[in-house]
Amino acid sequence: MAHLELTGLCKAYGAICIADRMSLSVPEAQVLGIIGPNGAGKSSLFNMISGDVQPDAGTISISGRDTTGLPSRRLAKLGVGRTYQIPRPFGGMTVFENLLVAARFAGGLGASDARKKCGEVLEATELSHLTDETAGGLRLLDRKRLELSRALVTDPELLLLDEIAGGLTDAECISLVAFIGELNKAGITILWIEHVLHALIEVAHRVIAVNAGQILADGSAEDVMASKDVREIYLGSAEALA
Amino acid sequence: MSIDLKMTVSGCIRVLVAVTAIASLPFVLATANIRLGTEILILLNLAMLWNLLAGYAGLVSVGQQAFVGLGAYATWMALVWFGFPFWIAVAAGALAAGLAASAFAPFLFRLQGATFAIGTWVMAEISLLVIANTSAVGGGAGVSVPARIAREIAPDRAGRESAIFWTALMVALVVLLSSYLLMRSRWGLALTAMRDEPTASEAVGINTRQVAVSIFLAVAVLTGAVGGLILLAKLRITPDSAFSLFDWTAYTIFIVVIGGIGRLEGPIIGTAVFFTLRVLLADFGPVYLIILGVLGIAVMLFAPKGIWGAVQTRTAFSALPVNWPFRSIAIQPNLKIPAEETKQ
Ligand SMILES: Nc1ncnc2c1ncn2[C@@H]1O[C@H](COP(=O)(O)OP(=O)(O)O)[C@@H](O)[C@H]1O
Ligand SMILES: [Mg+2]
Repeated sequence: MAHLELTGLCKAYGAICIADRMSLSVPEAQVLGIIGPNGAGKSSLFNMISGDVQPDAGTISISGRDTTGLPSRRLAKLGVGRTYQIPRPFGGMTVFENLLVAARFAGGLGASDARKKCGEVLEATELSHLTDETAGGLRLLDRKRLELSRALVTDPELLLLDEIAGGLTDAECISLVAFIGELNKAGITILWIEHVLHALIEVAHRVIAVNAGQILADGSAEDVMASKDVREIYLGSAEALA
Repeated sequence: MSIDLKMTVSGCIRVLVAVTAIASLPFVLATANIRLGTEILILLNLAMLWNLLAGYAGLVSVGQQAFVGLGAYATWMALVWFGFPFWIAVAAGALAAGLAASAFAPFLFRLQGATFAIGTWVMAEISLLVIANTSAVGGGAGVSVPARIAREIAPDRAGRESAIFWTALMVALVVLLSSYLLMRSRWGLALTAMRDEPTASEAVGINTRQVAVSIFLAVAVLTGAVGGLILLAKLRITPDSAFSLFDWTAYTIFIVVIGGIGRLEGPIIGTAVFFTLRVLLADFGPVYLIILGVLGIAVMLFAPKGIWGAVQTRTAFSALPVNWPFRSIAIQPNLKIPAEETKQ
């Protein structure tokens, strides 16, 4: 059974089409890379999967269960974790509290288990030095790390990552890729929207390219990058593939 | 855990000492000063409640006077029509305010941000108009508590003022303690998360509407009880005085903003500053209000976290810590190291 199944998904914002009868099946424990130009509707696709936004038509199912129309808080409890492209920290709370609230609610953990879990995740995402800092004062890269950490404390089975590698140094990028690989080895299905293609290619088992509500190409990273449609969209940015 | 516990225990002791001291005030003060004490407690209560709503949950209401007024009138009805003891009458005021809040909530919670604030003001105006046009509760002329019933609270004036003072103190304790426990619980985390980022709050499993409505109702109930206290303290109310935007909401907002919004200590500091100014500037008439306004603006510009916020950033001190410090718990493994060393 597929972990995530989209069938005939449609969504439009006025004249802007985000999904046009889009269908997609993601097996368990796959790392699916998602590429496409800005404004293609990638983040909006995540919004629909995570329940932040409801599709106009079509169905979404997770592990065989129809989750279309469920609010994000229900999906969070059903094992969907996500990061936002533009981070959404709880600005007036500390980094630790940001994680704690996610672990207590979406994670369903009791007080002491939640604290333990948050400590472990902060260690793993290298944020422990900022534990008691106010989240609103973090710089962008740390905010992105916080997004990832907050998603991880809920023990997600399906993880949606929206452009988390931008702005990282090469060394940081390598360790992020290794980290995502480890998460995947632990059995987490990962959908990763990323413009930093060399990082994405390292871990993605499969890549899809989307534009104007359509999936233009679907296959191995090499095949998708080689496809004519994709090259046309990334017109002039072919060097990004190198 | 031990550091956490120590902070809690020392916090409790501080609060206990303060409460005992305050509770014994009626034995030493003149009646007029007991009255002032009650007035201070009433505004402190309203400030703590408004802080919970606006400071912690991000629900900026400018219509809390609706619940003060309804609480006051319901308390009057319970006292005069049904002859209940005064503390049951105050509970009836609380209940009435809660019922009114649950009637208004379905409309209010369709609104967000500034429109929510306007909605709460409309709510207060509607409540005032309904009461002012109900002849059974005196219409625009208002109602008073007959001397016979006032004497049931306590036979003499000093005894009555003391009884009301202690009731106000009890309500203050309930409000402070429940705010503290709330903020230490996961629901406190949910409130602040919702205030900071509603979308992300839902994404981490919080039912933001449920949390917002619950806190709104709880605050309304306690605000209704304060309304009951106001009736007892004044013994005479009119729609204009019971539903006064100025007395019950504008001063309250001033107190919370200068004291420190979103901090439990804020309303306490703010109330102290407010009454100190009032005493100092008593002879200046309307100039007093101008000075209050200027002070409010100055604090907002130069110390946006209020007086307590400014103290806290400079000293990292918190009398009533409600945040969740991580280090005190997480560094437990380190605490074990000395034990192992002594073994060797
Ligand atoms: N809530 C919204 N209301 C109106 N338009 C939106 C909304 N969210 C996204 N859009 C539009 O949908 C398009 C796709 O946005 P997005 O999903 O963020 O693209 P991507 O992540 O692929 O860059 C953009 O043109 C954006 O302006
Ligand atoms: Mg995007």
